[in-house]
Amino acid sequence: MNNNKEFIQAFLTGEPQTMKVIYAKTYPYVERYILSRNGSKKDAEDVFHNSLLHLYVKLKENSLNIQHFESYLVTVCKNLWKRESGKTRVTNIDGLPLVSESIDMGSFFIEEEQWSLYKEMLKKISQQCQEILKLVFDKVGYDAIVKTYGYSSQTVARQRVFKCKTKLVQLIKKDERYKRLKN
Amino acid sequence: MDLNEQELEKLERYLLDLMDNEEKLSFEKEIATSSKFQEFIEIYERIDHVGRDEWMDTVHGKEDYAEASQKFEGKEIQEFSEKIRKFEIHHFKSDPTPKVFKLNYKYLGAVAAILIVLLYVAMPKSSDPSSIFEQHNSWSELPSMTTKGDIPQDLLLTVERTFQEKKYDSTIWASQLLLDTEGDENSTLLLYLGISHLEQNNFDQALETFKTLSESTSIDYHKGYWYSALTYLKQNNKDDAKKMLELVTLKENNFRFKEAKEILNNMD
Repeated sequence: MNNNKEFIQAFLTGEPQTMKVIYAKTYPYVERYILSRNGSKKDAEDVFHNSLLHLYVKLKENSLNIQHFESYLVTVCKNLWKRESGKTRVTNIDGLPLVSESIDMGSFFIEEEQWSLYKEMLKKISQQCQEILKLVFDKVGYDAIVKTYGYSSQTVARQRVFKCKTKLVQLIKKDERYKRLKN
Repeated sequence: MDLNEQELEKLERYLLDLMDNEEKLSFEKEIATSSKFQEFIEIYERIDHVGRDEWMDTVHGKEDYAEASQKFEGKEIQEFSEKIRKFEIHHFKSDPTPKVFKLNYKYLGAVAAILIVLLYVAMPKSSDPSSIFEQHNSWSELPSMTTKGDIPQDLLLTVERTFQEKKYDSTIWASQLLLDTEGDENSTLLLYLGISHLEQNNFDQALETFKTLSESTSIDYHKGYWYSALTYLKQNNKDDAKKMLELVTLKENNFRFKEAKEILNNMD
């Protein structure tokens, strides 16, 4: 898919041919992703629609440096679906007045920015820290971590995890995006 | 303001549950009045959520929401939304009424014959390697790990759980660790390891693992041929896939004998 300024400009004006390319290339993947995670076709359509709005706002604000439009759109769709499927939905987007939907989109806007920041910082810590934290996130027992890395005890392994996470906390706190979100 | 070393050390002892009750209670009082401790703990805990791909609710105030919400309330964004909606109506619901053809019954036989030919022509998917792979990659046939009692149960459960959760990196890590320490003749572990490599598109490692299985003394050695064939199919390597499928068809008792025969017939 094109990634140049003209393509993004065409997207921002809702140019039909560009929208057609976006839907033809990206929507089927997003639909499969959502259907395979207990979502419906209607969910997929709403998530895709709202992700396009999210991208529109970010691009209009110039707060986004997109390397690859399609990949970014897919990431936003996945994040939005993670968020939607993770909570018990008691509302139907169609049935809500626009203002409620905008509040929902507004909170997603904030959450998405935080999410991207955390994900990005997770890639900035040392390789070993990344590996150990991955095992912790996947709920692999500390016994196994001790065995793999040759730590003398579980406490030592936990201390190592604490150090890795502290490094992450410091990186996150230093980032401009965190400061902006915080203020 | 950043935490100093002493404060970090205290936090570490608190978060790792190394404090006694008295110390813990006293520190919790300190946390309650210290925004920098609260901020650290909040980020610290959020890291786990993000790492586990669990979406986080925001803890921002109403003003933050209101500001972000305004971005989605203007006339411009509404117009853009309507533009996409119009496009969606066209994209998702185009041509909803199928055309009705009136057929003369005497042509029905000919039409049916043409349809059969067309269907046959239009079904090359079944011989397309990647389509064949897609038809056989549910992995529901994999045996459960919990029945094996001779090696560490927690790691076995990790292998199975991470595999089901599609966290293949961890499956690879845990199964490799078990194979390294417990010997590499465990066919079930080799299958979990090989298929995880296959899912991650680590084709060389997948093939090597299935080769280890097919050359092992395990009664399931022949499963190595089938999964090697699937690996080649995913790579669109028809020739090597065929060779492996031919090995599967050497014995009727081999795993996926019938399926392999069928695929080979459709491939020719």
